[in-house]
Amino acid sequence: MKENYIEPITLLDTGFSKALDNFEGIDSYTVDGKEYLLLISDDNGDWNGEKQQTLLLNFKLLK
Amino acid sequence: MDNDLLNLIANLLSMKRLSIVLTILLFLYYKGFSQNVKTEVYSLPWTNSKNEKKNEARKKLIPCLSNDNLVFKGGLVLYSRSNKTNKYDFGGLSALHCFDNGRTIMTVSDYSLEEKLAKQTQFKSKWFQFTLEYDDEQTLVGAKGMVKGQVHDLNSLIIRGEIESMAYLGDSIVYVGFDNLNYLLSYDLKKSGFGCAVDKLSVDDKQCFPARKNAGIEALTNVGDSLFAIYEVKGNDNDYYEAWLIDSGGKNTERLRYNGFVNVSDTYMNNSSILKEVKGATTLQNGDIVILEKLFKRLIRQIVFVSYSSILRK
Repeated sequence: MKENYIEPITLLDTGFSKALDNFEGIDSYTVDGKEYLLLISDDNGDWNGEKQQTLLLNFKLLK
Repeated sequence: MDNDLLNLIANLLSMKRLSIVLTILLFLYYKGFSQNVKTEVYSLPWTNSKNEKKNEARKKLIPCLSNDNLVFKGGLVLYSRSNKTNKYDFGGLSALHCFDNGRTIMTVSDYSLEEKLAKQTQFKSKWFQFTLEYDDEQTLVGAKGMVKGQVHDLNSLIIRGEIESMAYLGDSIVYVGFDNLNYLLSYDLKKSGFGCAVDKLSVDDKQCFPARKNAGIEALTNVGDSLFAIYEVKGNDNDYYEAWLIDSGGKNTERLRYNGFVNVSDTYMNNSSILKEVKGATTLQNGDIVILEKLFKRLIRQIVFVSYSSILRK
């Protein structure tokens, strides 16, 4: 049913970068009425951390 | 019988007793001792890793991580020293859930590799819970105090990896989704925790569930009392991603279509060597859903956050 479709909002488009690892998890939390996102990456077993690491990034939503 | 033979029999009996004790200990380890193990997680600023080239690339990327919609508030590299002795002990983190205003997180590993310990197979499905530290501006500055355990199935057997998504309904009921499987398992963290699954919730029948190897439900979040799930990749002949709205009671499952990557350029979308995968979802206070989409080619990745709960088509 096409009428149920609404254009989504893209919050962030980082572009291609070697700085970004393999992000697979996301969740949100609230502090003092402000909402935040946490993002976690899967190192795919690269325990030396040479190519992929376990990263945790934090973002504050403005809207 | 001479003394040598008696000694040999005694030694054999002793070894048998020892093996029985070891077997019992291993059984108890896999059944429960492996739960709630206190350990430590360590962190570094994400621009201070061992790879200098990557550090520089991350520093250059930081201005691109803020815009009119959101602000970047810090990043960490997480690691565990136990990885030196057991390389798959920490990592493979594929889903997370926040508690206590973001101060505590629960996360699960999708590692599916196996190692042998005393001739017993040691599986890798693990959960990790630890504390996060922020400064006065809510910038993420550190992690500490980890507790970990292994994730078991309905029969209390350790799951063989490939847990890819996680969602909470209420304070203690958590559902996990997998690669290659068309069902979710649920756990009651106030009772048996991850030590034994309490229910199995079918997502869809096999005719509708896509059958690509190494793909599955990677995005899972709560929508009221229901669960919203998205399959990781598009079906072969579809222009959409399969999605489901699942009644937590298991009585009703509504099949939906997720229209992913709508604002990504045709150049990327038409390039079959660039993979486009849906990797996660979270529900905001107002009911909107933020979905993590990822494009990647080899080790060069692009992440795209997409918001709105209404990006569904029936």
